Amino acid sequence: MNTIDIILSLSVLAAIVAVESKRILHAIFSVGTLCVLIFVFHIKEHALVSGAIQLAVELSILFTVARIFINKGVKFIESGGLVLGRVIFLFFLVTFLAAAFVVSGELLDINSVLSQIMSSFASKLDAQKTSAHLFRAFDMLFILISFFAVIVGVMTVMRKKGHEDKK
Amino acid sequence: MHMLNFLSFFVIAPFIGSVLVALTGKFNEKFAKAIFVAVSLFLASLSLSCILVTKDFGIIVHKTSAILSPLYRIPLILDGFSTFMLVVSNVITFFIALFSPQYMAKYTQRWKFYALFLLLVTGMNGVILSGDILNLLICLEAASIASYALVAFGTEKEELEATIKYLIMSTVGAFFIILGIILLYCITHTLNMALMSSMLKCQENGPLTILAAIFFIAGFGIKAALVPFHSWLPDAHQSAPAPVSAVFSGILIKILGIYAIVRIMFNVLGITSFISTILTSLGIFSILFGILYAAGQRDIKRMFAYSSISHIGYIALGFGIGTKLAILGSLLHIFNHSAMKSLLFLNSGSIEYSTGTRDMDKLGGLRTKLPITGITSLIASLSISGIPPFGGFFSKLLIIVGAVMSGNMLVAFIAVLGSMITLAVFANFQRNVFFSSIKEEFQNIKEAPMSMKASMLALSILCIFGGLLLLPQFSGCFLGQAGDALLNCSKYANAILGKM
Amino acid sequence: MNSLIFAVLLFLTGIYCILTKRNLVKIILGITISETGLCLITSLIGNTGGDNKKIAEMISFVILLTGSAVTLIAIAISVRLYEKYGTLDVSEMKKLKG
Repeated sequence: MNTIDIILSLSVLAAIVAVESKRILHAIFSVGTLCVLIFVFHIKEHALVSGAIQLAVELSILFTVARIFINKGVKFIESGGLVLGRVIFLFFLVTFLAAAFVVSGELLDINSVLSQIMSSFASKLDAQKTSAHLFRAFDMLFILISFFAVIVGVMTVMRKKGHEDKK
Repeated sequence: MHMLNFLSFFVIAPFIGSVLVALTGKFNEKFAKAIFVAVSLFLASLSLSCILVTKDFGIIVHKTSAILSPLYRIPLILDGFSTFMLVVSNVITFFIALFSPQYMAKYTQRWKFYALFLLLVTGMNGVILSGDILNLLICLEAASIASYALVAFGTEKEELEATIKYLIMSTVGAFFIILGIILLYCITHTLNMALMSSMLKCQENGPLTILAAIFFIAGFGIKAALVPFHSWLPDAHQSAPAPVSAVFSGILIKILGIYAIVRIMFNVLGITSFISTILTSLGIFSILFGILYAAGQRDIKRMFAYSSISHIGYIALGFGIGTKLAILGSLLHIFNHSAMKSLLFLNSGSIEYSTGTRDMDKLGGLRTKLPITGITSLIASLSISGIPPFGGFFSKLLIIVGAVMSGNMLVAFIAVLGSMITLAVFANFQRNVFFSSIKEEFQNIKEAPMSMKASMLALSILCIFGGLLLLPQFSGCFLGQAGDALLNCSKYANAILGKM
Repeated sequence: MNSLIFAVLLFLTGIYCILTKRNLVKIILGITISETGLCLITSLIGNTGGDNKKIAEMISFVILLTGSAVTLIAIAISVRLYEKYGTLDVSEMKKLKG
């Protein structure tokens, strides 16, 4: 078993611990561990930029969650789960596994399929070389739009009074 | 032939409008209202001019990120189907925007509503115009985020509960869409929908493609509120302000859900009998569940929400059957249902504005006190029940005839049954709200203000004359082009690749 | 191939958390776990070739940012829900029925 498998199996373990833990604080710490492990995985795969972005974003969200809920004095014990949810999940899992079994033969051939397609399209590619990272302006514009929507949305939700006449 | 690349205006104009509203709304609300209505009017007229443009010039491709190689560019594409959806979306949004300022007077900090609404319009226009599947996802998410905040606008208990339920289900749907995108990328090594379409023609439909199709139907089905993914819709519609419910039912679920499914199934993946069967069965279940649940409701908006589920079922059914007649019926039904359902929700807003309640047991005899609301509501109810000569009759007829002609008798029977139950439900609604005797406390209510009346009247005119879209003069350039764009899927890929 | 199975397992764990847990904070953590799983799947796809790496980075960038935006607004709504209902238990929030 190489290191990648160990890192990934530890991260799945951390996720399962986060899901089943009885105290929310433990769950938050487990998800934090998960994020750090995934960052280590990205370092090993030499994709430093995406790993760093992922770590920064997710840790800041976890920090926000922890701070807000500790400040509000929320009681952290939770117990039990929804029965209907478990049934739905079981059904979904069975279908997913069946589908994965069917396509697993094809997935192993991804590399050969991709190289075939790439060679047939080599003539359509321009000669210009793009930079190391893709910058698609329209995508960035819409990400900016969605963050603007989040800012206005959070301001909307957090305001004191919603209706004019109600208290 | 160089013309001004106006397609990006559909996205840039509402975004700049939203930023302007956000910057000035707190200090000067009249200015914010003016920008809001003006931007909607601009978008509506721009979309109407697109009909002429597509008629003369064919498919328009506007390339962004031109420095990148063609595999990674994001094209903005305007073909017959996009034009149709743009017109439906922007014109009806304009009428809803006309209705909003007066209705929202009872909410605080209205400039946030205008800003979020314009961001929603930005996202929806981006979804319609996008030619790249990852860009479609981002626009969808931007529109969804704006919609979460809009549903929660009143910040009461029920509204927040409905919002969090909608948010969680919608996010799970987005995850499925992402899985589908990743699978499609593995198969075709590109994110551009036209390139994907031409590449998938070369290979037969292996299991990976079918799995991607299932993920897309699940993900976009949650956004479209098809049964069994529909449970967020009634709560979200009941709690949201009336203009927001109108945009949701009339436009949002059709664009984020039905448009995306149809674009991907018809133009990218290629319709197979497997996908047709899935769409048809989802449509049938939605028709039945929606209208049966609607029959038992007391709250007006909840009843309309369940009826929306039923009519989205009709649209999915038409696309699932797949013959030219059925697709034409579905497209006409998208137009008709947007007009009818938005009008019904605006009516419920007007009723709530005047009387303060939405419970059918408490209302009655309102047609004497609220004449315009009463008449427009009657027109919308007749149209949605499929009574000739209103628009709804023609679209339902086309879908049912399409089902009969393709040999599916059970499907046609269920569609007719759904239509009859719809008639019963809406007749009950009219009787309870408008036609019985008026209650004591409502003796002194007044009709809605001028702008609300104007938008309701305009939408009712669209309901009455919806059937005229089938006439040869109109159908050639409007509906017919949309149907063509869907049925000749290789035409989509070839035309776009030629212009890239 | 093993790595892909683990990534899919991570995603499924997140979905399990969203579907079955009653506490809102847990559900939001489930969204985060699923999102991490999806990013992992894309990075694994990105490892297979030179050009794929750029696209995979971009896809995971998009997933992260939109997912975190949704999580932020979900946190804001949960805070207000806690103020209104006094509890974070989803099964207690049943005002809308039928």
